[in-house]
Amino acid sequence: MGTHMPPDRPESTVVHEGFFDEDYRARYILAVEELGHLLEEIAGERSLFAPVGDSFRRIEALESISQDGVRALFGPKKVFFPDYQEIFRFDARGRVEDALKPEKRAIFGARACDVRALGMLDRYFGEMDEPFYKTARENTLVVGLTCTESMPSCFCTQFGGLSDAGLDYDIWLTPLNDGFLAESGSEEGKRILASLSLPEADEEHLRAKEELIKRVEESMDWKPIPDELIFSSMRDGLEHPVWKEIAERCFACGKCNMICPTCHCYDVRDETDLYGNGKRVRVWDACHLFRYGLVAGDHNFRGKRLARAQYRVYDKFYYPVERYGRFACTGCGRCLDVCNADIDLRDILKRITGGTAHGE
Amino acid sequence: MGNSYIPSSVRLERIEEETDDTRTFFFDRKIDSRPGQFLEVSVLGYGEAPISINSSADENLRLTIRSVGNVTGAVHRMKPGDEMGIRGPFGRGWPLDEMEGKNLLIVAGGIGLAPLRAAILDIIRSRERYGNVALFYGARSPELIIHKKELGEWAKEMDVKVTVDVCDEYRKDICSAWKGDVGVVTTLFDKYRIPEDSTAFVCGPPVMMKFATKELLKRGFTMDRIYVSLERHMKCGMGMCGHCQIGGRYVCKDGPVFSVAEFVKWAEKPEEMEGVL
Ligand SMILES: Cc1cc2nc3c(=O)[nH]c(=O)nc-3n(C[C@H](O)[C@H](O)[C@H](O)COP(=O)(O)OP(=O)(O)OC[C@H]3O[C@@H](n4cnc5c(N)ncnc54)[C@H](O)[C@@H]3O)c2cc1C
Ligand code: SF4
Ligand code: SF4
Ligand code: FES
Repeated sequence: MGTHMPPDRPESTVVHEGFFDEDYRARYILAVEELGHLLEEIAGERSLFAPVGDSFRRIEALESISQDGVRALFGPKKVFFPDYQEIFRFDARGRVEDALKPEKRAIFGARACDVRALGMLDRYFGEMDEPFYKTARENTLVVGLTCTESMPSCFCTQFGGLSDAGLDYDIWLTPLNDGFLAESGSEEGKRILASLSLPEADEEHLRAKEELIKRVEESMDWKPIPDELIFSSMRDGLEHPVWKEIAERCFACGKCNMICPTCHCYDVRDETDLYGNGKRVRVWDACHLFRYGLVAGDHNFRGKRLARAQYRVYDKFYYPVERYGRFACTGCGRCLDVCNADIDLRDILKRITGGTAHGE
Repeated sequence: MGNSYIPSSVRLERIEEETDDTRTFFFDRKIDSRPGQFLEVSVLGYGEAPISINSSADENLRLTIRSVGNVTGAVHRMKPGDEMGIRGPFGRGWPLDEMEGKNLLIVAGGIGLAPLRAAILDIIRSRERYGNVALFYGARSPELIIHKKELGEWAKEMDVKVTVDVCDEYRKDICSAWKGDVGVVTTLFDKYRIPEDSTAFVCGPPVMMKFATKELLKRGFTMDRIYVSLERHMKCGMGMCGHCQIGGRYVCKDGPVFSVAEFVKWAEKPEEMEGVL
């Protein structure tokens, strides 16, 4: 993706890059009745997180896990990067207690777009080995699930689609007629699947998976645009009228930031009691909000709504290509689902690359 | 794995008044830093603020801080003997290594002299490694000049010119004693000789950096010979929280010092350069 690299691309180190290793690949067939065994095996020594209703939650009872065939509205990002996280505690005498404590976890039911988004967070937070993200990522087993339907807002086919190829996970499940195709993508995943003594999958099952992916991808209302065209159109499109149009509609509420699986900005705050004991916490922040770029003397470096609306989109389709060689959008469509102004990235991409807008 | 958000502690030894709202704080130990880098200063219960390292690496840590809010206010309330937290040093400072044998023009505005002090000291310490060096410094009025005593010492090693924006009859009390130039810092570009073929290091308020850059470009400076130090809202200092980002670069990690030649390629230009690029 995005081979169009400017010459002055800053250096970056990447964690988990090329993590996937064919040596860890094993394929089995998991009957529907066996799913419970797999979940018990996974949850045994780990806290399990899976979609319940519209959101990933900590699972107490396996029956509460959602049976939907498509992504949840609130993805698994907060398992790795919580919306509110203690960094450390302190007391009035200045003593500090580290809040970095690893917990063994597993996520079940992450979709291709969710896991692709984790790959992006790996790059952002991997640049400096961000301790909380890294600790969570290293201690969390990822179980992916192929979608069996799409939502009207989905356009992941632009960014790799439903395929798990190149994604970094432990186990990948694909619902088929007679159960699940279960594939391992890590040593731990391979060990877990092997322990269940399942029958091996064959070519037929792989073909069924391909067909499922094809069917769901074709159900999406999106015709992929060449990556290079998106990149060059963004580069040359700073003055395009589309920015003014979306800025006039945008409420600058930041919901699209909060819901996005690759948005990673945060604020750091101190919270104290009356005696001066307290904690330093990290909370999600949003580049759409007015005070995001405010500094001393009331300078606001992105004070105009236009600048902020444009920035969010550039930070998905342009800057990450310069820095990491890939788009930071997965096409999950969540930002459209939550937007009261119906701002649709597909419209913007079509307009800026010279096509007509969605639905026109 | 370590928690890189936990600050380490330094003890305050001495405080010096610079202006009404700005003081220099002297601490009990050295920091291995390069000129132009900054620290995240942490006061438990108040939070953190990015502050440039005012000291060179061979003296104990000094920070010159203007009291504007929460954290900076809390630091101003500290007394000698008190402890404070720091994280860092962070960022890419002034490109002194590339300046060897070259002429230099340092342009500072107001408290913007503080992040340049370490560079000035390094230049003076190895004075023979550099060509002609000039420091043009502007403050709004005489009482807002920082590092007053040192400016005189530096003048022995380089061409130091100091100007104030306004000084007229309405401010007789202060201005009768002012013997220096009057006018914004860019007026010095015409009054005095800019070292030939020099590279400029610019630090000050956003408007000042904008006009200095504009005037330097007019006088034949190429973009790759103008460096500015940007200020942005910063929450982590490590290229993680996203706050300082501009044009896809992290000011905290990839900067804060950038050459103008770098900006022109970005899809979002620093606001300081509005009307310049
Ligand atoms: C690289 C860098 C070097 C700096 N060096 C110095 C220095 O040497 N001396 C000095 O006095 N100041 C310096 N500053 C500015 C200093 O960081 C801000 O004045 C300080 O963060 C304000 O924090 P506060 O908690 O006191 O104010 P707050 O109570 O937080 O707010 C006061 C005002 O400052 C703004 N602000 C809040 N947090 C930040 C932030 N992290 N960065 C910038 N503005 C913020 C607020 O939006 C508000 O307008 C530097 C800034 C940067 C980015
Ligand atoms: S959700 Fe919609 S209205 Fe809100 S900031 Fe995002 S684009 Fe603007
Ligand atoms: S920008 Fe929108 S579509 Fe893209 S990953 Fe974020 S929420 Fe999903
Ligand atoms: S200060 Fe957090 S990314 Fe630069």
